[in-house]
Amino acid sequence: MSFNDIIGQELAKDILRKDIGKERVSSSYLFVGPKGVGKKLTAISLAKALNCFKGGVDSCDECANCRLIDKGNFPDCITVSPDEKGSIKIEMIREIKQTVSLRTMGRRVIIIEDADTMTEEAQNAFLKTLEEPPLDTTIILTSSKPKHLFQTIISRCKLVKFRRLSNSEVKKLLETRKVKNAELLANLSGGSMERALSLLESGARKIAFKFANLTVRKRLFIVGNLRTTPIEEFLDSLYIFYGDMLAKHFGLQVRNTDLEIVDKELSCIFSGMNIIRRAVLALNHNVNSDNILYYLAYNLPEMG
Amino acid sequence: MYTVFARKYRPRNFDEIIGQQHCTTTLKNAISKGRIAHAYLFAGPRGVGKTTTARILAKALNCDNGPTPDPCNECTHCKEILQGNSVDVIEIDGASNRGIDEIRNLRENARYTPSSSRYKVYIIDEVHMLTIHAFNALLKILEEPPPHIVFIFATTQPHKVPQTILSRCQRFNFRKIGFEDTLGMLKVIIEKENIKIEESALKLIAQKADGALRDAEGMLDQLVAYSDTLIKEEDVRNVLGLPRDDVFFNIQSYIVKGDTKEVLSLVQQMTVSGISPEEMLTGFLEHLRLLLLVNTNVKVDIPPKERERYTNAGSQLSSDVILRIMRFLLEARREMRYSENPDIYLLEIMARLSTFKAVPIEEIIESLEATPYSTERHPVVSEKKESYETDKIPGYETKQKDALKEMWKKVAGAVEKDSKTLASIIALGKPVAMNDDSMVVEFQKGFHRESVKDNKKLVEKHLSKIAGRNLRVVFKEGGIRTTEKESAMLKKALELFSAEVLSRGG
Repeated sequence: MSFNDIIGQELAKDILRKDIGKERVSSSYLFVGPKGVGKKLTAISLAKALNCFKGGVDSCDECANCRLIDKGNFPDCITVSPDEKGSIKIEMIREIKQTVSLRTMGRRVIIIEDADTMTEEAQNAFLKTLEEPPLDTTIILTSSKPKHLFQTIISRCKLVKFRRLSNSEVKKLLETRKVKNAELLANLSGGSMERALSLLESGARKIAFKFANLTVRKRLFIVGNLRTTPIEEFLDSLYIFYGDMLAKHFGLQVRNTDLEIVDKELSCIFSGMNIIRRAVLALNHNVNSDNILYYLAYNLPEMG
Repeated sequence: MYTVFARKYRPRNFDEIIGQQHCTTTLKNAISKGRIAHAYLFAGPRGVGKTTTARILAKALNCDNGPTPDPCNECTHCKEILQGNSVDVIEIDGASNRGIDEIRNLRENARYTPSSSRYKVYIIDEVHMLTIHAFNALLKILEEPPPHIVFIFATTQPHKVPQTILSRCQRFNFRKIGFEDTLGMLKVIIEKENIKIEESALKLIAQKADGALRDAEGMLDQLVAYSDTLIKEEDVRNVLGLPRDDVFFNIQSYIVKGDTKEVLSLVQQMTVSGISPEEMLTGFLEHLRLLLLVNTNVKVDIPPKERERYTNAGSQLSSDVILRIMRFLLEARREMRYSENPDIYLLEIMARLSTFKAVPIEEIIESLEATPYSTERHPVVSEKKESYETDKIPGYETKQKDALKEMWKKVAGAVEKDSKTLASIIALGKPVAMNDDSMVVEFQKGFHRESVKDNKKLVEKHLSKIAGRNLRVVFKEGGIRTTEKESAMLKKALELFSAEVLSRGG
């Protein structure tokens, strides 16, 4: 996939094309933006454009190099992603430093996916390499939570911001994949392709909607059955649902266009949102998910 | 091959370093007087010149004409150091070589005299990342190194370096680079590179860099690549994803007016157009900070025209209201990190802000005092409209209540033999009143009451046995869901603060 095939992100693509065209490709980039909006795709396209036999500011997708990179077999394009525990360890960074010290055939591109998952040691170990990598190397960090990165890391990279996709862009992407209900999913996605696809797979959204509308007593009856629902998505959907109530209250566009959103008084909406945010915080602090579900069942305001 | 501005314009001698005169002057004088310490610690925020100064110091010490405060940058030693391949200037990345083994190695090598230069200079960058054992292994050699050794440590987090190390080094604190200095440096670059850029755009970059020159140079770099001819302020905002500042003036005036709908649609519009919610929040905080400074007549680095705008806007809000909003937003910003839906969270924050009424504290106290004070949180209204009058003797009420509580506890104990679950629910109940033939018990949660109600007979049996006479039990809900039952005080308070009940003590 070349820059031209990537939907949206005009500004980011524009910046990168101009960097290539003017031969000002930086040695380190930080791609920042929400999840699932095309950061990694763009990074790979950049790698291809830099190594394409045909030259120019975009990849041809036909030459040997482009194809090798697409298949992940190009020796000078290395992707590092978080391990199964969800973090990038110092060993992985040391390995990169080792690789970087060797000479290359073309232009080496190193893509660090979800760079914010680098441990403190890993980030520190990376600083010197990021500041002055060899001239034939470009390092691309991608992150949806740049707040978790050190200031010293951010300050060493050229920042490229990715925006959320517009609903129509998500819809277009979903339609090319022949997904049903593309319009609704696009509305719910909040501009993230990744989220649109995960919504498609799980029924968490409808469950959350029903859950919020039950009385406390009935919620407690069904809490046990919720264990099979992924809790992150459940909380996510609940919060979006409350966001919709807020939007409805003030006459703005809602996301769950297929659900009937009732207009409640503001204090009820606020206290519900507060409780869900506390639940999310608790989840981030490794509280048992059963306890979180009980907390929600007890405390979410009743709709009736 | 293209190099970024930050590397291309890295200063090559002490005089080129801007904004750190307090450090460079001291170092220059020390060198010319021959008072060279054996260990230096450079501390300060990112991108202000720590590593650069360390390299210049290394050159100054090893230059052919030296030690001199003005290294020539032409002799072999200077050139080698510039290219980073001098054998006697060893730059170590403290963050990746952090173990004791690396330090042992260093100690081993430090014993040998330099190969061709005057000094052997060890520059350890990011020194705060060394392990505690590595630091301890350094202590002895740091206290009394061989005469040909100079250590230079650089760090952004000096508080992580042990005291024992700190006390063995000469410490230099690097500052953030001032707005004017940053601007000056940027101007030098645009002149040398022949870049056309609007003055206001350049100022915005200098302001956004927040005292880090490397950030400023990086941004300029990016904009030069992005823009084909003249770089405009609009381009800077576009590439850096910054909202225009009139957005914040609008948000502020809507909030003051309490026009929630407008605030929310404006915020929604901004996030859809690609400005991140974090950026919005930070921008609004910055806006409030300026308002506060203008309001309190503090000197601010903004043009007079802008200042007037802020003064006008600032008159809408008093300083303590601004402070209160800022505190709220700062807390929100911290929480936003965890949010998977920062855009909705931003809507929530803005909705809360614009429905929030600023009421002076005196008014609150006054109206609270005007409300009849009652100690009873939930006045009891019997389902049968019976009255439970007690004599108005002081202390009588509490005494009777204690007796009731005692009795209820006994009931719970008695029921425990039949059902432990039921007993634990009963223990949650609160007896509130009793007359000749019945006792009123209150439950916080509706479904607790329901489950006890199902076993009413059993409870009444035990209660009658304990009391020694036939008694009925009346269950009441003491919950928060029906407003009639709330005390006048609580109701008034909720109204005053437009608050909500999050939780209540038992």
